[in-house]
Amino acid sequence: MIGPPASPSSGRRVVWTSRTLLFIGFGGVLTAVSVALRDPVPLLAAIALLLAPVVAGLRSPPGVSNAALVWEARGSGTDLTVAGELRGEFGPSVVDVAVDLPPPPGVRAVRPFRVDPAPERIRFEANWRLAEPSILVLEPPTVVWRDPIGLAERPVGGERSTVAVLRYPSTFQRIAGLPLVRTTSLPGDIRSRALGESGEFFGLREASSGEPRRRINWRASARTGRPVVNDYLLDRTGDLVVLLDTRPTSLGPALDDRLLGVARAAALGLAEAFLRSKIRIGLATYGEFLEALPLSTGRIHRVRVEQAILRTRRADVAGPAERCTLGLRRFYRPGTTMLIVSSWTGDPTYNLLPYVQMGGFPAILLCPSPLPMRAGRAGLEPADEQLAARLERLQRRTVISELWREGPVVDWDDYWTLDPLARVLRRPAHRKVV
Amino acid sequence: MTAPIYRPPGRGGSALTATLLGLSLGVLGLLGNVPYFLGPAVAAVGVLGSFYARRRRPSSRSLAPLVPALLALVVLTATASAEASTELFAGLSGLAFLVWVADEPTRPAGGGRRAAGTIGSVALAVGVVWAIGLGFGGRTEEIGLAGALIATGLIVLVLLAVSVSERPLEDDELPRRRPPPGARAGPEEAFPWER
Repeated sequence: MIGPPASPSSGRRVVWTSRTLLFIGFGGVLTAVSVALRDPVPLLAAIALLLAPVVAGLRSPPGVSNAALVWEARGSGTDLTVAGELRGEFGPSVVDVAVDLPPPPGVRAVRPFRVDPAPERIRFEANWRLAEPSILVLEPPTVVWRDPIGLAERPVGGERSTVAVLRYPSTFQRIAGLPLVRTTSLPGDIRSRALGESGEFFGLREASSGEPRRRINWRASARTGRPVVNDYLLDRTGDLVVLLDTRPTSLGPALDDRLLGVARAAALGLAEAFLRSKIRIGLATYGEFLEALPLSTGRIHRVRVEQAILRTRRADVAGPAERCTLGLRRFYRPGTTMLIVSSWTGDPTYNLLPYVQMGGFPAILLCPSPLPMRAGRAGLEPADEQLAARLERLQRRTVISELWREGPVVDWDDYWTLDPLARVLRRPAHRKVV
Repeated sequence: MTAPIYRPPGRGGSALTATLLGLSLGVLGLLGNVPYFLGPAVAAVGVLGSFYARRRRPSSRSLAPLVPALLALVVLTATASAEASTELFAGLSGLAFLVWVADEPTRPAGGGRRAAGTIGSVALAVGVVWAIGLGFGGRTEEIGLAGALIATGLIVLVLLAVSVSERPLEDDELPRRRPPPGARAGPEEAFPWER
C-alpha cells in the first residue's frame, strides 16, 4: 500500500560529510605546523587535504539531482520484502549513488540489502522479518550521490511516498463476536452479521467437537440423527471507542515506537473486526492533545480509521491524563465503551484508566507489555535470562494487579493473539465493573 | 539483474593503494630527519594501522581508519627538512592518501579511477605549488607565496561551490513578467508572449 506522496526534496545542495571535517582538521594542523616551524613540507601535504573537499563538491554530477521512486512492501505473516525502483538519468555516476533503507525498530534483516544499479534506474530489495504484529509506515529510502572519496554528498530529490505495512493476525477478528456494553437506546438498532450464542434465531448447523451442551438443539438432533446446534444473530447494541495512547514513556523512543506499532495493529484489527459486525467505532489518539474520529460504521469509515491509524506518530510531549478525559467528553457521549491501548509503565500520573472512568466512560486498558521486546537484551546466560524474565513478569503482574482496583486491565504479552482481552470481555464480572 | 559491481564487505581491494601510500610515506620517512630509520617505521605503523582498521570495520562513514595514516603524515612532514625532494614526497603522500581513501572496500570497485578528476585537480595544485617553490629560493618567501596561492585558490573555489550549490528557482517562484500592451493570456497558455 502506498501512502500520500511526500513533498519533493531539493536535490541540489551539496552536504559535506564528517570525513571532510577530518580532512580540514588535519589540513589545518599541517598548515599550522608549517607556519610554526617555517617549513613548507607540511604545507605541501596540507594542500591535498584542504583542496580535495572543495573539488569533490564542485564535481557533483548534475544528472543525479532527481529520481522518481516506485516501491512496495510484499510478503505475508512475519516475512516482509520491500522492493522498489528509482528512475532517473544517473548515467555513469550511478555507482556513486547510495541507497540506504535501514530496517525500522523491531524488524530484522534476513538477507543483506541488495542494490542493482543501471544508468537509467536503480533497483533495490530488502528482506526483513517482523518480530511482532505491527503497523509500520516505512519512510522512503535515503538516496544520495556521494563522491568517490566520500567527502561530499548531494541528496537525490524527487517524488517520494511512504509505504504502509499492515500486519496483524486474523485471530484478532474473532473478538468481534463478544458482547459490548449496551449504549444504544433500543435493542436491534444496529443489526449484526455475526453469529453467536444469543440474539435472534438464525439457523441450524452441525455441532462441532467441544460444542457446549446448552447450544445443542436436542429435538432437531433427534430428527436428523446427529448433533445439531442453534445459531443466533448477535444483538449488537454497543459502540466502541479505541483510544490509542501515543505519549512517550520512560522506555525510550525505540521501544516506544515498537509498542506503538503493536498498539496500532491491535487498534486496526479490533476496529476492522467490530466494523464487520456493524458496530459503530470511534478512534481517538492522545499524545500531547486529543485527536478524535467520531463514531461511525461502514466501509468508508474503515478507510478513515485506517488512515487515521497510519497517521499516528509517537508524540514528543506527554499531555496530562485529565486533558484526555476533557477531550473525550467533547467528542463522545458518556457511557460509550472505551478501549485504551496504552503501554503503561508504572507512573501513576500516566495512567489514563481512572481519569477516563471518572469521565463516565466504561474503560478497559489493553496494555502491550514491553517484556517480550526486551528479552535477550541483557546478554545473560540462557538460564539467567529465563530467571530474569520470570522476575520481570512477576513484578509486572504485581503492578498490573494494583491497577485492577481502577478497572479491567489486560496485560498483553503474546502479541499474536487477543485472547486475554476476549477473556475479560466474556466475563460477566467485566460487565458489572463497567 | 546486472553484473554485481559491489564487492563483498570486508574484502581487500585496497592493498595496492595501501602499498602506494606506504611507499610514498616510507620514502618521506627515509628522506626526513627522524633518526635510526624510525621514519619508515612510523610510515609502516600508520599505513598498517589504517589498513587493518578498515578491514576490521569496513564502513564508508567511519573515520577511525583514516586517523593512523593522517597522524603518520603529520609526524613525517613535521620532522622533514625543507628540500625539494621532501616537499615533492609530502605532496605525493597527500595524493596517495586520497587514492587510498577513494579505494573504499564497502563501495563499488574502481573508486580511485572514478576519483581521478578530483585527485587530478588536487595533483595539479600540488604540482604548481611545488614548481613555484622549486623556482624561488628563500624559505619564508616560499611559505608566504604558497600560502597566498592556496588561500586565493580556496576562496575562488569556495565562491564557485556556493554559486553552483544555490537552489534554482521553482516554477512558481519565477518572476512574473508583465504582458506587453495589447497581449492577452489565454487559460491554457499563461505567458504566450514569452515564446
